[in-house]
Amino acid sequence: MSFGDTTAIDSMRRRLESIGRSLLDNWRKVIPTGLWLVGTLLLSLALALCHSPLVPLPGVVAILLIPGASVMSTLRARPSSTPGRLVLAVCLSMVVVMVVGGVASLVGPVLGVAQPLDALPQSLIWFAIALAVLIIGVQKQDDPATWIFEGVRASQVYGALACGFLVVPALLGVAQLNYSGDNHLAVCSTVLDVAVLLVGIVGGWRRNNRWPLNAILYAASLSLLLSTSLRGAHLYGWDIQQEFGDAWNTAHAGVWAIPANHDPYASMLSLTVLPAILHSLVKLRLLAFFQLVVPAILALLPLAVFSTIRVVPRWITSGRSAPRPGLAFAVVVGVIVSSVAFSSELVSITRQAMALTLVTSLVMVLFDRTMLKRQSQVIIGIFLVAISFTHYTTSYLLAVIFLCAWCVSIFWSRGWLGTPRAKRKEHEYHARSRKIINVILVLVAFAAAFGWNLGITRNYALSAPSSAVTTKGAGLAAASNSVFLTPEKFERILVGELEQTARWIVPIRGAGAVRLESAPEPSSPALVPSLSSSWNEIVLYAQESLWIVLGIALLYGLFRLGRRRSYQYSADMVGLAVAGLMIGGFLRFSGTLAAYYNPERAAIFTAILLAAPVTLFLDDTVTFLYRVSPIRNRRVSLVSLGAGFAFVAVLVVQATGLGALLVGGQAPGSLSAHDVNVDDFTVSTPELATADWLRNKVIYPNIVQSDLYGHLVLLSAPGSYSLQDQIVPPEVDKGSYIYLSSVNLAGLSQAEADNGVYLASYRSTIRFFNQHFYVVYSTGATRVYH
Amino acid sequence: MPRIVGARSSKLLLSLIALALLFGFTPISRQLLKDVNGSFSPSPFTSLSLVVSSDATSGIRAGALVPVKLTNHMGRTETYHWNATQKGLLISLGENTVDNNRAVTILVPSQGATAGKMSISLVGVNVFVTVPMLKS
Repeated sequence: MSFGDTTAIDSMRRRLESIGRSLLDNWRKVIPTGLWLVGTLLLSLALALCHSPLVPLPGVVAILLIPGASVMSTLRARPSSTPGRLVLAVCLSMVVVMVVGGVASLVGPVLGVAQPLDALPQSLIWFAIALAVLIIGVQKQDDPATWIFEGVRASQVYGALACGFLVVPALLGVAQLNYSGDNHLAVCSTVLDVAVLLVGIVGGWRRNNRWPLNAILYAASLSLLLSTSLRGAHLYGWDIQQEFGDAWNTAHAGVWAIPANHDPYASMLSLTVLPAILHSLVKLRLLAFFQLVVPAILALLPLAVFSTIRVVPRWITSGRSAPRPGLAFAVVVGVIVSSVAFSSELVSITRQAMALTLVTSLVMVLFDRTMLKRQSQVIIGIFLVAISFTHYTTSYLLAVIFLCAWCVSIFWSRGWLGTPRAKRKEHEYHARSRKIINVILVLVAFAAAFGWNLGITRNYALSAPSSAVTTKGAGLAAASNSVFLTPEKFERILVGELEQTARWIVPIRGAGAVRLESAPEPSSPALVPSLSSSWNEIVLYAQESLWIVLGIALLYGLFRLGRRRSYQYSADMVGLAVAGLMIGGFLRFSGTLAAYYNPERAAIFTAILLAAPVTLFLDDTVTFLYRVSPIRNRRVSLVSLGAGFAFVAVLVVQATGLGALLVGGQAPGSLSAHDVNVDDFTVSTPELATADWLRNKVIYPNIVQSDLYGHLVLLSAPGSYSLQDQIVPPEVDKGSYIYLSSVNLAGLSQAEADNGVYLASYRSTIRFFNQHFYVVYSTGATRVYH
Repeated sequence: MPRIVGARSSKLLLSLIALALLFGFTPISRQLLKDVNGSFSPSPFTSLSLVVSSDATSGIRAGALVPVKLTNHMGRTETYHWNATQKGLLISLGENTVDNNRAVTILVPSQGATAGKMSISLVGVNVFVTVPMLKS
């Protein structure tokens, strides 16, 4: 070997060493994420060896954080607060999972993989994604895990862990209620949650306090949601049963396909692909997805709102310090946690729960002053697209809201909102760059909403409400709620219906002679029934005055904007608030649309969009009150703040159902063992088994008939049979299978007229079925006749 | 793992707490649920069904065997006593032991039955099926 060769080898060795060192240095950057991934794998294996029910937990946490964190670090987008980063990471991860599953389902069959959502293809796909995350991290020199958790202190984690124990009594309370029918622990847990939320308002009042308000808010919200989602032996609520059915179908098919029947639920990737991937990849049971993961995601909604409103929003650069944390906390508790939709409805409407969490995250990104404008617009665009395949109605509403908000900001930036003609040019120059919502985002919102729902999946979500509006009008004066009739009155309506249904029904001879008898509905005993009327009046005033507060906050925002001080307010904020209040008000007063999208669900949408203006308005009001000399008096300020506190307390006590237990009324299923809501929304194990039996044994063209109570569980296990939700004797076909649920066998049935407005509760006509049909399936708690 | 600011001992303690919670979850939750008399387990039940549900419309000739399916979801092995009756008269009876989460098909004799409705029930519980019997 010559001297020249030795030098060349040395130089090559040095070069290789340097490349190796630089590679090692680069890969060292992503060690936290790498360790997290390996730790997830090892922990899952160890938990599986211990036969722990928590086996899917490490996987679910990783899959709901790491992909989103990687997107954030790639886009170099990072909200100012850790809770904000967590929310954004979870929301973006959901988007990644849905997109990956959707693409796999469309491309897989073409490449010869018939079931791309099954465990093996998904494991390979996600292994590749994990590698891609690490490689991108190396290239960008940013570790995704560090990107979202940087700066978190051990003391904060301890605080979060301590607050997490709020969930324990909720879990035990609902387990006790399910098993033994005792509601004591459930009530205590709810009282504890309400108390903690109210104490958080007081504790967080000072601007420089160090209370773990984020952890308190998340833990209390989660425990309230879990006490509802875990109620009963299966899922709690109406829509969620059908959503479960769609998730089950997708998971068992191993592939998502555009539904041939254009069913809107089956067109949503949030209800099909997302649960199916978590089921196949980390062995998460579908039931656990709906009972545990959805509430955990939904509990991020108040957290995201709080992260948005506790700091000064984007574009406001002068004349304001951050609002009092306690005040922001009170706004979140008052308008979000205390909204009827959040406390009792959204947890049973998975698609909207996830879509609204995405919307909240979008609003957070829009107002976060630490995120750059371009990155924010990209993330907002991603969310606008993602919401279209998460929930159809939310995407349509959001498109309209973005259009309205853009128009308002145009009005303002052009100087048409109170700016003198002489100063318009200067104002336009200042205002042009100070907005996020632009024409491109409006176009993206419309293209996504209409493209996915009408162009790609061609689902019929819009057809029923649009034809109702076309035929009936908005129905602003029409009743929006169902009307309960006595059985006698209901029978008279039934006569009219029979003329239409008689075309396919072959009734039992003499069925028309069976008279319906009224039956009392179950109710919980009240603690102080004498306070009922006063309490209901107070609640009504409190709930209605919320709309007034929202309206005043909006006017205040318009006033601030109208003074042309662009650095004191945000045109985006006012635009979204105007649109939110318009949409919320329209849906609240439209009797026609209320049948498709109830006012409570619209109200929380409005609250999300108006939370920031309300906080700014209230913070300015409180600051003003502190400055005015007659009010500066300690006693006066205490009384006025106490009144505000009492206002929030009334709202939250009523929303959690404690009000119903106190003075009487329909207590929520989470707090009562035997009440109307329990009958309406819970499912027992025998009922689920009966639904499975019907799915397996009764096939098309057979018909299954049930009443409204029985109908609930049949949505969860849809079969090929035709389903009719009517078992009033004259409307029972003699060839049908008749399903009687636990409530029916206990003596209570419920019927709905074909128009969907009139309802009646009546004593079950079991004797009629015993006389004319045979029992083909029985569990003691349920029965199927044929 | 994600970077958390704090003393090394504090981080170690956090990891230990997290591991203890994860691995101690099963025994702790079992004990807590027992203490409060609560459970997330499915409620126990037994089901009885006609093996051929169309028998309810076509009927079965008296004297023939009636196939019914008995399923045990009681959480333990159960011995079931069943009987077939018509207008209060005993037609046949028997017993079957069924393991948990298992089903057996019972062939119920119907000798002595006449045309009309025959009921096959489990003794002591309100679980039954009915079949139309035809003339033999």
